[in-house]
Amino acid sequence: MFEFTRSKTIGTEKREDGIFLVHGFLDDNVYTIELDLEVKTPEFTIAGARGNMKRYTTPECPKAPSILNDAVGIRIGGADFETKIKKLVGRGGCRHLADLFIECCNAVFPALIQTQWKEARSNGINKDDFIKGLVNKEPKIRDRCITYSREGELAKRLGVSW
Amino acid sequence: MVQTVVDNRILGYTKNMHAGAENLDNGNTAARVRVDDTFLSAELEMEFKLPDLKIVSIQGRIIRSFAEECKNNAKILQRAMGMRVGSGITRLVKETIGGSNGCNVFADMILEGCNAIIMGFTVDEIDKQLAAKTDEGYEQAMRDMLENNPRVASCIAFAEGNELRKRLGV
Repeated sequence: MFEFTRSKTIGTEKREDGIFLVHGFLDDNVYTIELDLEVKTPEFTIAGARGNMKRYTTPECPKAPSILNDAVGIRIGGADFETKIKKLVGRGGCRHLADLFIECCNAVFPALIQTQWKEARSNGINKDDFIKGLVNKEPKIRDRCITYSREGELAKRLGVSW
Repeated sequence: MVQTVVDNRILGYTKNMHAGAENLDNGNTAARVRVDDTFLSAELEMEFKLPDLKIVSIQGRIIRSFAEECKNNAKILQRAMGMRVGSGITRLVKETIGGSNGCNVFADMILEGCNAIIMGFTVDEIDKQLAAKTDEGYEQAMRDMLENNPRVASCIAFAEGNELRKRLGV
């Protein structure tokens, strides 16, 4: 029998003005938390953040989302991004809300790639050519992991280098 | 008048992650994690030996991925063998399992599983606290939690001088 379970669901939509709306939902044995983020691209800055603690453990917990106003203007990414959010949203509010916040922020880059892939596919571009183009124009993806490393099998197969 | 324009769009990128922790008959504890997003689908199972919460078994696989090469990354997981859940685990996992020579998806999944294990140990205590039948019982459980817990300033509930602490006289 599971002693503990946690589910996190993230959904993204792209508004016509280029702002990504990210909806996050966390549900576990102890907490239920909702979060809505607005993220401006290509700057990747937080343009808006609203949260709601639906199930929690102390009377102080529902006050935690008020800290989200202080996150507006923060740029997603960079070596200290998670530390910054854990301190601001976690220690200042709720660490589970911070966990969901980071999860939502991490969804913005793949959301951007998804919109680019959708457009490329509709223009008849195949997946390998799309990945080649991605590696060439998105420094963020280069050496992000072993698959997208310059020494990796993918780079060799597609004949790309950087 | 009926509104005809709805300011909604089809969802683009989506992600679902599920982590669960369970106690095993051999006295160990286990975590299972599953991720399904627009680009990838992966699963992970870990077994932890008590009381030091050492990873004694780990296996996983990437079932679906945008780049086919991601499916070969499961062997990276063996680097986590022997790691202990505790202080420094986040950095250790990110540096050993994730990064340019690793797989960030598996690194995140390991950390999610470790979190489920830790949370699994706190559920019973929180359950007792929330199960109090009277205001007095709830407040006493709350007072015990604040007094016995060294996590001052770890979140809004444990912040020094907050309303809850003042009211309970902690």
